[in-house]
Amino acid sequence: MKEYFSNIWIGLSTVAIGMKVTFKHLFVPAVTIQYPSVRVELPERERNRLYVNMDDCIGHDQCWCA
Amino acid sequence: MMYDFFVDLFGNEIIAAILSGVPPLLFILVFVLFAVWLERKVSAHMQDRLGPMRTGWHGYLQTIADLIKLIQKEDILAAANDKPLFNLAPVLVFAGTYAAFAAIPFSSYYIGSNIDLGIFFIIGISGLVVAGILMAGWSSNNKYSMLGAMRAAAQIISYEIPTILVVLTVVMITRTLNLHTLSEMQTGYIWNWMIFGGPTVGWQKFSLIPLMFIGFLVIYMSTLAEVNRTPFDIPEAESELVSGYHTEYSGMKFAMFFLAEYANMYAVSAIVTALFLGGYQSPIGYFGNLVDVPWLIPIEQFLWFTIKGTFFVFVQMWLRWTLPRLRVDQLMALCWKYLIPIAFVNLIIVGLITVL
Repeated sequence: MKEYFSNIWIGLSTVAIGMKVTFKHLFVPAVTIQYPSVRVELPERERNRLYVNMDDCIGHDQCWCA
Repeated sequence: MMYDFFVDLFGNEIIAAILSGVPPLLFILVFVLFAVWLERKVSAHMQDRLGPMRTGWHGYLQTIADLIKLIQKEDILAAANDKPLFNLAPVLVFAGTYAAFAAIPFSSYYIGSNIDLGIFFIIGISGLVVAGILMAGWSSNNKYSMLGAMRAAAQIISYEIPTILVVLTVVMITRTLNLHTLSEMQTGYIWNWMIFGGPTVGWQKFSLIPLMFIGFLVIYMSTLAEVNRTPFDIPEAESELVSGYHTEYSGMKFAMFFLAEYANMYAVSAIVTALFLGGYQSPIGYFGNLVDVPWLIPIEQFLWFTIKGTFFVFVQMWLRWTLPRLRVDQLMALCWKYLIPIAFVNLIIVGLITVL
């Protein structure tokens, strides 16, 4: 009987803890970078090589635009 | 009442009934567009993402874009499907949900059908959804769909019992099943809501408050399970059942299931609101009374009802992105070992208090 009520209490309180965590994250600023409009500053001397695998290419010109 | 107004205006009950059935449909469509967007934004922000951002301000046109995409999609019918049942199922699921909106009191001037058996009608007609889901799973002729449909039927039917037991506790205090009268009883201020004992007075009111809180928690959990949302979404568990009974559906038929799911979320929130949180009543009095403009009051009532309902839909989403899915045995244990005994004991104690 004691176990039954402690189960209920554990269930409800842990749900409340979880809800508190997710509610806090509602107001955490997002980590997303909205790529084409916002771009990360790359190092000045970076030399990245573009690479196209023609089997995977769907031809939407993203690599050409970048 | 809008229905009586239309009867006076046209002198024809059929036209009046059809016309007073239109506002819930409009409400469902607008609400679903909003709720799908809200779900995306809530889920995204809870995971520190942004969600849809490109279509309109913070992506508020995303749902409309999705709707246009769904309309354009091909309506796929597999060769092994049971065609008549397969085509009927989404319509039946949506019809069950839409019919439940008929008895929901949106404001004191608008209720689709002011029947005396309001809450009873809603619980009864929601049973139609189970038939639609079973039909969908059976006629898809797919093992996973069938499993999902069977799970949905088992889950919805078992969780209806605690819901009905809690509804009965409320009905024992108010002595009416009519949702309009029930909402009118909770008029005035916040302490007249059913969750704070409703229209009872004296020691009865104080002894009812903890019992009503327990009842509120029980009905909230069981209605959450009835609409198949996470943590109770085992009928459509994506990772184990490939989204259950609507795996085989595409295009507009899939959209019908989606529409029914979100409309159902609002319907159960509206029931919880009407039973426990004052229905359309304002907690702080009406602005229309303050400035002496009587026609403002129904609009305010509608706004309060929408705000309360939407808040509970938000809590459902919040729970969805917090909790993992339950196992089947855990789901049944929660219903039969915890919710039903608690609701039943609650029912008996409230019954004794109201008799004394």
